[in-house]
Amino acid sequence: MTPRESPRSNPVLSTATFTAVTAPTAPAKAGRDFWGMFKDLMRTFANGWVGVREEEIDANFLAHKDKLEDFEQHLTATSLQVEALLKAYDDLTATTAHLGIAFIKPAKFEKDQNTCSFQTKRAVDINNFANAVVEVTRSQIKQNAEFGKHLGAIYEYLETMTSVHNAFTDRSNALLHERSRYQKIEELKVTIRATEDAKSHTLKEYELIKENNMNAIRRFNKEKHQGLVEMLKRFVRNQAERATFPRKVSHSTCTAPWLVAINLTRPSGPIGIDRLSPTLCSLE
Amino acid sequence: MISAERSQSQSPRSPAAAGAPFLTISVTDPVKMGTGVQSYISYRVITKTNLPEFEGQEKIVIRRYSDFEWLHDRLAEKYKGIFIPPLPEKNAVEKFRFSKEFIEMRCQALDLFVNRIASHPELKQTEDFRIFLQADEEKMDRARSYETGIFKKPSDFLQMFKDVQSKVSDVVLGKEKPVEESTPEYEKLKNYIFELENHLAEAQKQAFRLVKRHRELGQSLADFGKAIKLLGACEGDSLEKVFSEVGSKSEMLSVKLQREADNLLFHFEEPLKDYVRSVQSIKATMVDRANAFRQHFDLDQERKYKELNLEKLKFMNPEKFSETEVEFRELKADSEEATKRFEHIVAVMEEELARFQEQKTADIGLAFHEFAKGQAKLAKDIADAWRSVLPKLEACSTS
Repeated sequence: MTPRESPRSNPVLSTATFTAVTAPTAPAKAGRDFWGMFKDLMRTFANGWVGVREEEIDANFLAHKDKLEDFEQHLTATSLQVEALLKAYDDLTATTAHLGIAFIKPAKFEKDQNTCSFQTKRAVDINNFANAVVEVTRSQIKQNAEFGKHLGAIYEYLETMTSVHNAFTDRSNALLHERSRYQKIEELKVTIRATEDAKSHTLKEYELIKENNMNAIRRFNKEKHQGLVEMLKRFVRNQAERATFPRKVSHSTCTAPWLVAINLTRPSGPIGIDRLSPTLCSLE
Repeated sequence: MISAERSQSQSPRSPAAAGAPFLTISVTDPVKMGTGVQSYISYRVITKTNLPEFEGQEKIVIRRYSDFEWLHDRLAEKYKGIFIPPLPEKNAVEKFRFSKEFIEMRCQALDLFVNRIASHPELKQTEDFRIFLQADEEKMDRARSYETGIFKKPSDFLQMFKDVQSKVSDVVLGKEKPVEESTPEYEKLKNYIFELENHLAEAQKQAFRLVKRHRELGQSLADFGKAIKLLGACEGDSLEKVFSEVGSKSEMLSVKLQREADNLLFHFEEPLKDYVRSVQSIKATMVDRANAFRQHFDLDQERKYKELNLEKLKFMNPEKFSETEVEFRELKADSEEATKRFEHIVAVMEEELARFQEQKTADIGLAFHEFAKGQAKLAKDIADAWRSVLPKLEACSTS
C-alpha cells in the first residue's frame, strides 16, 4: 500500500495517510493464531516504513530502525521455533501416553492367565512399567501447559513493538513517560490525535521530536534487553523443571518414577542370555 | 551396539580342562559384499569353546543371512515341538536394506539367535549347529544349495505320499474337515498365544512411534538453538554471549535426544519386536502340532477301521487274510509312530512353554529396565543443562 503523491511535498498528507494500528491481542489459545498475527504485524511494518522512508534523514534513527527490523525478523524466527518445540513436546507426550496405555492391557491379560510364577512376576513388571509411564505423561502434560503460557511473554513483546512502530510512523512523542506497556498504548492514541489536530511542523518541533525519539529508543532498548532475558529465563526454568516430579520416593528429587521403575525391574538372578549393557548409568 | 556378556563364558585364560564347559558365540562385523543387485551383508561368527564335540578352541567363519536361515529351517524341520529361536525379518524395503541402523539391528538379532540355540539343551548339541559354526564357506554353500535345490531327500517323497494317503482316507471314511485337537487346556493356550501377539504388536508399534518422536524433538531443539543464537547475535553485547550459550545447550541436548532415540530403538523397541517373533515361532510349532495330531488321528481311525475288516476277513477269506494282515501290521506301526510323534511334540511343548515364560519375563524386565534408565538419564541431562545456564541469565538481568 504505497502513497500516490510523493510525501516529500506534503508532510501533513503523509501523516494523515497512516492511521494508528491497534496492538494485536494475544489469542485465547497460546500459539494457535501466532502465525496470522505475525503476518499482520509484518505487513504493518512494511507499510509504515515505506511511508517514512523519503522524509527521514536522521542517520541515527535509520540505524535504529534497521536494527529493529532485524530484531523483528529474528524474534519471529525464534518464536516459530519455540512453537515447533512446543508441538514436538506435545507429540512426544501424546505418544508416551499411548505407550503407557498399550501396556496396561497386556498387564491385566497376563495377570488373568496366571499359569506360573514367572507369568505373575511379568504381569507385575508390566503393570509397574505402565504406571510409571502414565505418571510421567501426566507430569509432561502439566509442563507443556506451562510452556504454552510462557509464549504469552512473546505476545506482550509484540504489543510493545507495534505501539513503538506507530509512534515512529507518526513521528510524534510516543514514549515520553515511564509507565506500564498497556498505559503506553493508550497514551499513544492520545498523542496521535493531538498531532493530527495541530497539523503544523516547524523544524524546531521536528528536532525536538527526533531527540524524544532517541530517548524513547534508548529506553525501549533497555526494556527490550530486560524483557528478552526475562523471557529466556522463564523458558529455561520451564525446561529445567521438566525433570522434577512430585516426590513419591523420599530420597530423590529428580526423575522419581523412573528410579522406582529402575529398581523394580532390576534383573535378578542368572539370565540365560545376559544382555546387560556394561556401561551403567551413574544415576544408580 | 551392546557388547553382550555371556553368562556361560569363562575367562579365556583359565585352563580348559579344569574349567566348566563353555560355548561362547558372537556375530559381529557386518560387511557389505558384492555390488548392485547381487550385494549382500556378510557377518563374522566367532565361536569359543572347550567342548569336545567342536574342532578346537576358537573358530571364525563368515556367514550370510541365508546361512542363518538354513540353520533355522533345518532345526525347525527336525525338532518339531521346540520353539526354534526366531530370525530377524528376511526382506526389507530396498533403500533401507543397507542402512547402518538396519544392519546393526540385524546383526544384534542374529547374535541373539545363535546364542539362544547355544543355550538350548537340545538344539546346541545338533549336528546342523556344529556345521553352521564350523564348516568352511564352501561346505556351507553346498549344504545351503542342497536344501534349496530341486532335488528333495527321499524322506520328503515319503512324507508327500503319506499326506496323500491320509487325504484319501479322509474321503473314504467320509471326513472332509480336518480334525483339530481340542482339550480345554490347549484351547486356552491357543487363545493366549494369539491374543498375546496382538498386545505385543500394539506395544511395539507405540515403541517405534516413541523413537520417532524423540528424533523430532531433537530436531526441534537443534533448530531452536540456532534461532536463539542468531537472535542473540542480532542484539549484541552481553545478551549475545548468554543467548549463544542457551543455543549451544539446546544443540547439545538435541544430540542427546538422538542418542536416546537410538537407545530406545535397540534396547526397547527391538526386544519387543523379538518378543513378537518368539510368539510367531510358537504359532509355527502349533501348526506342526496340529499336523501331527491330524496324522495321528487319521492313522488311528484307519487302523481301527482296518482292524474290524481284518476280523471279518479271517473267517471269510483266510487266503487274503495273511496278505492283509501284513499290510495291517505296517499300518499299525505307522499309526503308533504317528501317535508317538504327536505325544512327543506335546511333551516337548510343555517344557518349551516353561522355558518361554521364564525367558520372556527376564527379557521384558530387562527391556523395561533399559527404558527407565535411558529416560531417567535423559531427563537428568536436560534438567542439568538448563539449570547450568540459569545463573548466567540471572546475572544478565541484574546488570
